[in-house]
Amino acid sequence: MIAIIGLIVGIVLGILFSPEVPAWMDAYLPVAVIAGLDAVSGAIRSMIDGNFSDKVFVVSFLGNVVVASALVWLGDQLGVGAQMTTGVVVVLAMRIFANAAAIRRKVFKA
Amino acid sequence: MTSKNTDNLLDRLIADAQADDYALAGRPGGRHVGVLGWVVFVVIGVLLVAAFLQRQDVQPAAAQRRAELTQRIEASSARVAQAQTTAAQLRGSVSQLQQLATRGLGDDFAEQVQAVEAASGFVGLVGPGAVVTLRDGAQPLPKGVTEDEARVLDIDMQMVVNGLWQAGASAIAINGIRLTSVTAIRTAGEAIVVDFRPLVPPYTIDAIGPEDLAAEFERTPASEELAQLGIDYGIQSKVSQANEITVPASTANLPTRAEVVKGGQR
Amino acid sequence: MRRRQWGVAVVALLIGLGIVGIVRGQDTEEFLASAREPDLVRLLDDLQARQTRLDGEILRLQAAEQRLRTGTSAEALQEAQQRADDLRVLAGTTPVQGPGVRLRVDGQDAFFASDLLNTVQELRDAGAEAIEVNNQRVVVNTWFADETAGISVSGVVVGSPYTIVAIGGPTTMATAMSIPGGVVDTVESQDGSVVITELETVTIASTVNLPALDPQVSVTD
Repeated sequence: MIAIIGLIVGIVLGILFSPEVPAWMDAYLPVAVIAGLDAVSGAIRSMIDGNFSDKVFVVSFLGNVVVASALVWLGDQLGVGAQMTTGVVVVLAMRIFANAAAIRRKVFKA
Repeated sequence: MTSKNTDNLLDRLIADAQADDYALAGRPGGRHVGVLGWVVFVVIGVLLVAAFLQRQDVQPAAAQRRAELTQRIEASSARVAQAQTTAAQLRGSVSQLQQLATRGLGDDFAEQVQAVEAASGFVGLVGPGAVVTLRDGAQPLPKGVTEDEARVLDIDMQMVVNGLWQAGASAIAINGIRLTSVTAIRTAGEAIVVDFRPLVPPYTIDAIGPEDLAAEFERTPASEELAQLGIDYGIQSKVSQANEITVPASTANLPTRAEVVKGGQR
Repeated sequence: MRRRQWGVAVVALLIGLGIVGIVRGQDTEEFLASAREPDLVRLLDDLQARQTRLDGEILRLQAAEQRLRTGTSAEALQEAQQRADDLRVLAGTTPVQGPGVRLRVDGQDAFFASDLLNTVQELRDAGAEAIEVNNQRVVVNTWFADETAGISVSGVVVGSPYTIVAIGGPTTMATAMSIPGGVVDTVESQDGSVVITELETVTIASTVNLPALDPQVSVTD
């Protein structure tokens, strides 16, 4: 659970160094971030469930980012970029919700 | 959450999407987070900030200017509204004090003042009259008319008000703003601005006058022009008679440059 | 059983308030969201001008209130007279003088009732406090209509050349008349001519009768 501090460390580093993203990444960054949040929510839930695994975490994050970005890119090529992005975001958001709900149930027993 | 075998495609999609990677991996890893895990957490944190910063830059300068302008307009509107309330309160207080002070001048003076207040628009009135409602053209618009053309303009409003005065109105307010000889009806872009305040449609014109004001209005050229506006541009209008119309006192500023020339008053 | 209903009631209340808040916020928000930038700028300018005038008026009112509370009755009477005079200026029942402009519009077919109407509104927007057209005083209930011989001003027909006198800020009003798309443009495009003169002092001698309050109309407050 302390590893969440890693998240905070990352945020602080980001604020300090104001990273600038190259223009071509514009459409992919938001999707990557949501994929990242999905991985984080999954990680926290698994920590509570007691079955967290480094490997699963890293792979799920990278995997989701790659697949999400690939889908968005494919969508742009086919002319349905916005819709594809929407679809990807919707699915990731559902996952975040589900994980958050599971966390909520375990923590608040409600 | 385990995926169930359901016939419903959507349910299956949702269930699949929410599949728990960790449970499926089947490794009882516990809670320990290794170096790799830490790295990924940090990376996600940086990405988060980068994404936020990117949002700031992506919005073109023009959109930011707009947002700023809109904010300032809202803040300014709120301040003006408050100043108006304060001014109205002060006016009421001053008026009361003046009435007390001028008791000595007798009822005549007070009556005269009230008559002038009513004529100039600086006291609230209630009485019979007509209500005219104007709305921008709605879909479907007449052939060849754009949305811009279907908007109620200041000249349209002026024309209707002109017609109401011609029909015998004695006091008019538009969306609660009393008209006086220093109140202007203008257009700023897409809004009609009365007494420097922008109005939002529908526009309700309250006119106090004789009981048959609405009927008289129908006999003025303005009524015809209004109907024509409806045909040409789809502008919607409604004229109705009413028995108890209230118009508020104007909050416009009293003159500062014009001075009375003594000896010629009526 | 009761506790559960309380929770639902609270949530429903919050949702209700939220919906009302959103719906109420829609009107002005929609307008602001669709307006063009130069219009927003003008709106802001107008609002700021109004704020300044209001602030000035509030100061004057506060001073007046102070004087009434602490001053002599003679002073109070004078204040009341001043206010009555101000209202008479606006009601058009007294001759007035002050700085202003004089417009001379020539051209039988160049100036119509709607042009005159627009001119009056433009002058008011530029701060005119008293207006006169061919020696007819223009007040709030003055109406204009086209006649063969010219323009009817509340029933009195006047013809070209039209002399419009307005008391207020001379430069502001003169500028307002000359903006693109304004009165001067319109008249000249219809083969007429407009001459604008700024004056340090001008007198408007015409007046209107003070209308009696209709018996069916009563004062509120």
